[in-house]
Amino acid sequence: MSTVDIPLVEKLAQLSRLTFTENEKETLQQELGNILDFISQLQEVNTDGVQPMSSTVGAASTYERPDEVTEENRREEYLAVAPKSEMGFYVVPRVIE
Amino acid sequence: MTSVYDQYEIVIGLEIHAQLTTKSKLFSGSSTEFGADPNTQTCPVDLGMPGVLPVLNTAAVDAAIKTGLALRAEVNKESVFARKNYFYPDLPKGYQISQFDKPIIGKGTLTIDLEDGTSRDIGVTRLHLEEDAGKSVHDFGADNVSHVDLNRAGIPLMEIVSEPDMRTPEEAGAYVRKMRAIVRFLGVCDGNMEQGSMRCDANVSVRKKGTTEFGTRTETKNLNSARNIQRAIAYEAMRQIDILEEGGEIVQETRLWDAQKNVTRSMRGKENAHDYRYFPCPDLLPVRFDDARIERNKQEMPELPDALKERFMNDYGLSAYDASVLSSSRATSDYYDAVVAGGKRDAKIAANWIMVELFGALNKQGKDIEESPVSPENMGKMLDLIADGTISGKIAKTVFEEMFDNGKDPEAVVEEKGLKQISDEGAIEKIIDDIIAANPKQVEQIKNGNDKLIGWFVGQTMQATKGKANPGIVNKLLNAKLRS
Amino acid sequence: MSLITLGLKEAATKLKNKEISAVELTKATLDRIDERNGTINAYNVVCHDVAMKMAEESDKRIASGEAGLIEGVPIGMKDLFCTKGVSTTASSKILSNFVPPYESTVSGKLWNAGGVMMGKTNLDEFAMGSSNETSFTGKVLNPWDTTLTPGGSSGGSSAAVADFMCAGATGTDTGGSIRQPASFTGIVGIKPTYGRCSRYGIVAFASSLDQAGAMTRNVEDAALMLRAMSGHDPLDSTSASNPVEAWDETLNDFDPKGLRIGLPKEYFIEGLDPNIRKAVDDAVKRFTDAGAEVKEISLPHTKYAVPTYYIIAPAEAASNLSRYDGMRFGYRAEGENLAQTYSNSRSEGFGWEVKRRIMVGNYTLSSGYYDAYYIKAQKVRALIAQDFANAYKEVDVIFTPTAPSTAFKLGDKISDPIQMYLNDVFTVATSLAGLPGISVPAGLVEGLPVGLQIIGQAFGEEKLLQVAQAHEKMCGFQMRAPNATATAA
Repeated sequence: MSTVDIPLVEKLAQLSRLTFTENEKETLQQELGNILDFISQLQEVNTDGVQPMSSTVGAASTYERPDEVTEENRREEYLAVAPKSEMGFYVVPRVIE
Repeated sequence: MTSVYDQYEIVIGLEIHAQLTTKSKLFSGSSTEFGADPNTQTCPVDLGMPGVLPVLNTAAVDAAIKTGLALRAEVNKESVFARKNYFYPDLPKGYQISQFDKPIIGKGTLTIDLEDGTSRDIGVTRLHLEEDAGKSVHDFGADNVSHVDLNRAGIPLMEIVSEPDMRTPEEAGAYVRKMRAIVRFLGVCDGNMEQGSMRCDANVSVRKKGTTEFGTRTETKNLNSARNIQRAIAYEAMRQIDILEEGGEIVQETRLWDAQKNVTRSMRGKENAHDYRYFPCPDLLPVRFDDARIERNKQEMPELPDALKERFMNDYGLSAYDASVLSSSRATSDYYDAVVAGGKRDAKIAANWIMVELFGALNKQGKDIEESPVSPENMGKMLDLIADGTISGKIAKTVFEEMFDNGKDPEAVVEEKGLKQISDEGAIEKIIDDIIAANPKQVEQIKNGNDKLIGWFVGQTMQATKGKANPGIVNKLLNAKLRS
Repeated sequence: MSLITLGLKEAATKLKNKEISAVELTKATLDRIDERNGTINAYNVVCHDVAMKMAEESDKRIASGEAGLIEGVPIGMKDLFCTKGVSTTASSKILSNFVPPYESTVSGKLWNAGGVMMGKTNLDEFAMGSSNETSFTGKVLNPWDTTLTPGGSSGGSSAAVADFMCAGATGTDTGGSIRQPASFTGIVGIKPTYGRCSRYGIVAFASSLDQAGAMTRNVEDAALMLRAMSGHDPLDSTSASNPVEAWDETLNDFDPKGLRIGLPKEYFIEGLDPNIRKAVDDAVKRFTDAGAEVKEISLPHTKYAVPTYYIIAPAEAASNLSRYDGMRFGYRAEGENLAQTYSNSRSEGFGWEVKRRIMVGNYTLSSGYYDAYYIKAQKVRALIAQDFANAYKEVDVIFTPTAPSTAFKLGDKISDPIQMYLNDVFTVATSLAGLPGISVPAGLVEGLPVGLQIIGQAFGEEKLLQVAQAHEKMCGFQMRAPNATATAA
């Protein structure tokens, strides 16, 4: 039913920021094919006129908080868990425009 | 001679990102204050740390409702936040919380005011709320790294998308200026384009006049002033026309405005079509509110530029252009209203003094009207001095300069400098008689029909009185004496 | 008296009465962990020092009459809950060095109520799994038989509770991750209504499904612990404002007479292990003997619950896990440029099951497939929820098996994702509908525990727990003793 080819695996890998060896790609081709076949069962369900349900919290409205500053500067604590930082900045590989 | 450019029509749509002036971020309690040290205004939510969750800022919702009302737009009582997924170091969660198919504000209209005094309605497609990204700095440290500051990450933005309704760069400029005026009137955005609190992207395409199909468009980013928007669009349109005229095709792409070189250039890295995989953000429920909330926001709204403009035209008899200039910011219209003092003073003369002398002086010093050294009270007093004949219009310019430079009261200036107008007919007559007596040749020429020389006598008289003689009386006396 | 076998409520009572001290209870529990964790691998981190300090504080509060709801009681914290200053890994390499600078709401509530943290319990990586075999820190063994899985994803919690390495442990349940491991280890596991417990600070798997819950050795303990965990949280927009009741105090204000029990015919299909069927039938019979009514009901979209779940959960997960990019926290594997650093960090940091689900999620969300998969799944989700709503017009609670089998062998299903996913068949529908469900031991099949799943109505935790309590009393299930020998691994 669903056909998964290597280019599709590679496209999804790119979207996912994951890299795979050629062997892994083949494994994924097989596994994703099986999973997609499995989830494609849903196509047989008649959902005409059904509203998609994104939350079970039903008709509730999202909670809105008052516009107040409740956070203080805790930069050093947060930067302490960063892989790399200097001068108060996160250091990342160069972002190319 | 018609240029090939005249055979084309430009089609322009604008996307404006307006940072809201809320105290805290869209989904966290971090401060939004501008100019703080890097990463000092962040919290786990802004940093996208594991397990933390967004909670919506109620003031952002109200700001969007007000802006929607000002744009005469549909306010959607149910809207949905969605995740826009992409990787970027200044986007901590790997997705931006935005709105996609259910924005808070739907279709609306913005009336733009053009220099010739005409107005046009430009369609607004939608307005939605979203969070801003952080900033990457590339200018210091080693070549192969960037430095990320996430203070801006999570600041609330309104993205306002126009219909492709604009046809000239001037219209696009007018659109941005008007949008800026409205958000500033509402107090929802400071409209500061240089600091980036209001940013604009322009979608531009061209087509032969008379055709109805849209051409392939490009999106130009990084437009940080109304002037740059106009220049970038003009450049981009010419570039596209040149390509088409040479038989080429326009590539749909994102371009960047280079304000130094005055060109747009392709952002090659972004050419891959993005697949943002939008889906409703499961951490937030739909935003739902009732008519009462819309009504409350309506009550809280000030008089907006269009209403002000109409009032200035109807009550004060201003031209459409003058009225739109004076209603372009809250500070300007407040200033003007204070000077006119409910019609106590001549509204047209007041408009002229503000638009020509005051704006000219402010511009020279790069000041806003809020910083004007001449208060509306003093401006009004000065106009009163002209009206009651204490000073002439010409002397008033000297008085104004003194007021602007030293912030003085106009009466004090007139007193100090002895600028009071001479309206004593006898005194002026004596001076005139002396001048006539000293210049028999010129008198002779006038008698021979050279009327223009009367002006020369006016000039001599004003010079002799250091400009203080009442020009009406000078004219009257000279005419009586020289035209027999 | 053995301290480690004390239940939550029992221990809390003895502590409050100063029959025992928090320090001695904590010491005994830490000793038990030190003795057993090498074999069972239930804990990723054991917090010896933190636990002792917390116990001392508890004893002080008890002495000054300020004891909280679970003052001094040893708690295992699933390693998915962020704990300030204490390693939180989600059993993933990508968070292996992460020490949160903040505390999850639920763990904070438990500490405020006096709970003492024994450590962080193992789980399937990012809670993705049904056997606790995908953990970066290694699989967890079932104390009943160490060749078997303790279930997943809360396998460390279930094993820790079943093996007396704490009185109660937190779990999280996205498609059955509390109930199935409870069933496999002979303990009680309750997943409350979606929104009961704050999700703030719980490493997210699938946000619209994730829900914290309690895992304990009896129903009363589950009621007490859940009470301490629940309540509205302004930091979680999806948390419910429904009042939290003293469920542990109303457990026995209930008579099975007149209770309407629904048995969904779609759950009792051919191929269901007859022994498991019998365990449920026996439980139902005890209720009918006590005056309850039984009704066959239909939940017609049951068949589609697992495929629906395996669209929605991976889609949300793919997005939720984008933040693990090696930039601001967690594991970074430096590459030659930004793109490589992203993919190296993520490829080395995530395990295979997690990567597979990210790939599936990005497939179903990508343009061209979104409507056919994601939107379709949300529509079927609505139908599944409607099935339950219809059923609850006729019945008060629904009884089903918790899982289609008893604990299966480690390694049995790990290579076949679909087989693994189908193990969730009885639990995912409840999650999709956001309803509360509890697994309670219903007997032994070939020496291994079997769980009965009782499904309640939204925010009907009180009734759900009362029914579970009635079952527990009538069933007379015997928890295995701490010194019972398990099959060697």
